Amino acid sequence: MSDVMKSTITPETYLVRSPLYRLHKAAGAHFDECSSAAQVTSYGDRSAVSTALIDLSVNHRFGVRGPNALAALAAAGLSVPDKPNQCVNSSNGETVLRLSNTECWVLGAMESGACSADSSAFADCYPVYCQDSHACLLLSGEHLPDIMAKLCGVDLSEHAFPKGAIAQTSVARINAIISHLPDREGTHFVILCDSAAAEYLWGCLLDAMGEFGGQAAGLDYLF
Amino acid sequence: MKMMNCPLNGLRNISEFVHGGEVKEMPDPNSCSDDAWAEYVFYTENGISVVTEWWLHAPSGYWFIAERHTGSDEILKTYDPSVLFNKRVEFSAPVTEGMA
Repeated sequence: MSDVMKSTITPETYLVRSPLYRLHKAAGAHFDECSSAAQVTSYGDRSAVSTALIDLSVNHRFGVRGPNALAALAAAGLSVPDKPNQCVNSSNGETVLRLSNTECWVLGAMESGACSADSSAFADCYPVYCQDSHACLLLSGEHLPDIMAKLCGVDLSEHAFPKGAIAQTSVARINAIISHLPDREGTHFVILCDSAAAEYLWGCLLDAMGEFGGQAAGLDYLF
Repeated sequence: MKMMNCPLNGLRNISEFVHGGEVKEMPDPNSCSDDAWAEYVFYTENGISVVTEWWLHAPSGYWFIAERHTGSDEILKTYDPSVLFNKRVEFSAPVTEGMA
């Protein structure tokens, strides 16, 4: 996309927006199109930042629930974790989160933001519409267990919370799902929280990251 | 802080849990007396003993069953509801006059 086009992209250009888009605009973020929405690409030069908080809320995600959920996802070619509270990457870049014995959420590939299907493709399962109910934040870089220890009672250090683990718990007094992304270099925690509380949690995470030099960033930080 | 063992998520702070009331056997709503239905809906034992209760782990939306002593407030055991409930409960409306 040309630089001229990029400069005209704002969240209001699209019907799908992150619950945090007003914060990003006010902070002077730069946007680019991703998954038919405006994704923050950068907050200026953050190349020297050790820890970044990135809003992935516009990336596609869906959930399925019910006794047929696991078999249906596997039949669609997605990898499904063996046990609850684990996540795995599928070959197409999507991440499958197994949240209980009979419920999984699928997060779109990080770079493209797209999912290969949605819950309507799984007729024998109950759909879970987590696209709009939840915000999706990515905490990436160094000191993540130390940052999360300020907000959360569960031990998220590497030995207790290895890659591929999920913790469904309270973060800064609100409910959240924390996933330690597998198969990626470095440490990346995806945090899903109620979209109505996204601004609150965004502020809490930035405050907790402050002492470790963490800052808000865009997709440019990753790719 | 007091802790509780969630069968799905493991040991968590008690502030993550919501109490859901006693586990009671439901009488047949179509044939039981009004007194029996009121007993089921509105009344609890409230004695000092081990009670079997519904609890919700709010961050994961997971309902499970716990056995708790109401005197010491000690949680003795927690387990998945499939231990007690292994088939779907179906409801049928009573046949009333005027209906085919």
